[in-house]
Amino acid sequence: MSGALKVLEIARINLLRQLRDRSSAFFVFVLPTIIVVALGLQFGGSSRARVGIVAPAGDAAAAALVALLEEDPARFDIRRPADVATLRAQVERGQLEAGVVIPSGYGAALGGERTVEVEFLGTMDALSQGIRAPIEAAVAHQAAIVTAARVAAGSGAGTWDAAVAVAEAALPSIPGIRVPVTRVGGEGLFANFGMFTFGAQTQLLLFVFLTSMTGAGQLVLTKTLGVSRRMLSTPTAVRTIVLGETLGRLAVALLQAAYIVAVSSLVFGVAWGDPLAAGAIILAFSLVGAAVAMLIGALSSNAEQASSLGVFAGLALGALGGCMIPFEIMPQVMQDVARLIPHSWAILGLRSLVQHGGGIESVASNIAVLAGFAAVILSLAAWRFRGSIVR
Amino acid sequence: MVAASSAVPVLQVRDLRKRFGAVEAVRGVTFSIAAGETYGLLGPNGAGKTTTISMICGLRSRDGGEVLLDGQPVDVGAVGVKAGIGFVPQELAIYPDLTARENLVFFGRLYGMGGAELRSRVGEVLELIGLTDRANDRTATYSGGMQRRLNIGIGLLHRPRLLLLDEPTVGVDPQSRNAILESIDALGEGGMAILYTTHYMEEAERLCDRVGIIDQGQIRAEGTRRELVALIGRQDQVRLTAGGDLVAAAAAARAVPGIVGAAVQDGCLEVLAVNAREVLPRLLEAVHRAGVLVKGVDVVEPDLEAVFLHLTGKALRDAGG
Ligand SMILES: Nc1ncnc2c1ncn2[C@@H]1O[C@H](COP(=O)(O)OP(=O)(O)O)[C@@H](O)[C@H]1O
Ligand SMILES: [Mg+2]
Repeated sequence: MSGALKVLEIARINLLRQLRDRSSAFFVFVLPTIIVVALGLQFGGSSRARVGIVAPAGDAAAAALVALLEEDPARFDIRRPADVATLRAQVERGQLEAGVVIPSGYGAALGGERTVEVEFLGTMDALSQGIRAPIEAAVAHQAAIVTAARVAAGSGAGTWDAAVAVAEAALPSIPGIRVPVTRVGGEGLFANFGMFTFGAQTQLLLFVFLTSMTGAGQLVLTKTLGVSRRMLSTPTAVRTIVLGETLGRLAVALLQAAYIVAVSSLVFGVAWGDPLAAGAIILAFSLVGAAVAMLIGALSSNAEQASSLGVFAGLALGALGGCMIPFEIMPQVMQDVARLIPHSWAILGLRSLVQHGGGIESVASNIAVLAGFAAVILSLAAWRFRGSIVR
Repeated sequence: MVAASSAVPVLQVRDLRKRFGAVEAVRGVTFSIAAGETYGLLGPNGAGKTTTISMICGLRSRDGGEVLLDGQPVDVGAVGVKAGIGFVPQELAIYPDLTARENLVFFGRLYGMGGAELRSRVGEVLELIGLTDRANDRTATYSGGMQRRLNIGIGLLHRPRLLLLDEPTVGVDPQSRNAILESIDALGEGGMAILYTTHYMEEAERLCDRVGIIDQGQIRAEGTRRELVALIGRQDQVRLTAGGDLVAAAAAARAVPGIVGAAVQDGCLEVLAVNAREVLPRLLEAVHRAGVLVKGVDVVEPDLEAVFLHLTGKALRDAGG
């Protein structure tokens, strides 16, 4: 049996053992399912931001504004709560990302002299702020018509309705009258990108990494069982053993990633972007996880130590790398720290695939950085592992 | 076949050395084993048996010396030559969450076997170690003896030229132990060269064609049982069954003129004397004065334990051990 086949055999045995272990089956499949379903229920199975609108009934201008917001179905999932109190409560509870209140008498007020206020409801975090820009753009579009119509009506061009009709007809051909909305400081987090997608992606990375960490304990067990030493007494090179053990961890992580992608996209319609590119990012990231697990396993002298170190590393790196809170709301220092964590490269890569719809070339640098992390950590792990079984 | 193989030994070990910090675990061990021969390394815990075996199968690097299998050097990195070695470690080295069959198939593949050959060989080995009925149960559910048998079976799978058995019966019930010894006897007859380490004199006497007596990292004497016993010369071995402080009694006995050595083993006081009949009254008096109550006296045919006592002044096992 050649070295490559032995690598596969060692990996196969690892996979078999991990799948046979009930607690790891829970970690690999059950827990992520619960999290993804919980996310799905909270965010309504939508990959778009949910915006609640309360608008006066039978008001043509209000209806036009709502239509404007509904125009781009990829952007918002428009909900219509019964009243302002309900809307406010839903935004507060996070059932809606934002709310828009169009005041009663909106249409009539537009024809008057006073400034008309359209109220935007959102928590003061970046999530709602990111949603605000496109809504402002829609309002600004209508404001442009109103401004034009007011000017027209004021200069005696006829009734208000006639002035609006003229303005609407003229607007597309009048350059510069549309109010351009420029987002300052990068694009909004949730442009083309819903809370659920964000959640599914970060949870995938968090779990895949944590799952790999359970491999650290398994590796220590293999060491303390004397099995890895026994492997070395067979005609099998240390390199083959290390690669096989790593591949075993990787296989479990990939199996879990595939499972999360399948459940989230088939059941909840989460978008993952270009499959090849997303697959490559997940593969490279899982390799980093397997490498870290090997390193912890090689350094630990007992399984308990490896498990607690592994869980700590999984959670700490996940938090620092942006799996729990988006970078955009982290202080600058933390954002800089995040660049040193593999998770951040995976998160940004996956997000960009969904937001910009690029292919594998658009995330090549993310994949390269992840592969670099994996190579360095794996070499360290192999060196330590060899040391721990040969002595 | 015997003539050809006895010309070139299967295993040659020359001046093997290993140091762990301040401890010199192996200090110049030299021996060789011919095809079909079973060689025993007999020595107490800490003598350096496991360290020696680990260097022979390329699990540990060595500080000096060489190991040749059929004339080929064995080293940690010498992957190919390891195919000729079967290793049964002192500590169990099996996956508890896999079945016996899965364990065997896994290691069989690492030994380079596969396909129908592996399948039929796994069946044979399961039969040999008496685990056919339980082959598809996880080994965590096995008794200690069954796990030991599987531990041995893995080393036999690929019909190695050299089989290394490191204290394979430690912690095994007497019945399993007997079964293990019988199957090892049969293996030697099949032409395999076997290195067997133990601290049980009976096992070494029963299984081994030749025995090396090892203590503190050195082989103190080597030969067949008859040759080793001859080293004692015309000394007598006296075994006192007694109650009380045997360690103090051993010290007292050693002071008696005509006593070559005395040590406590398995609840008895083992004494080597130039002439048992002459020395016995003085021995009993000295022991009595040490406050020990003697219940029985046997003058026994000298065995390897007596040889060990003769060579080292110690017992193979600690008091009660
Ligand atoms: N990995 C190690 N590190 C330090 N000392 C060791 C190590 N392995 C064995 N020793 C020491 O080397 C000596 C020989 O041990 P070992 O070969 O296990 O003896 P045996 O197998 O005959 O009981 C003992 O003193 C033991 O404490
Ligand atoms: Mg030992």
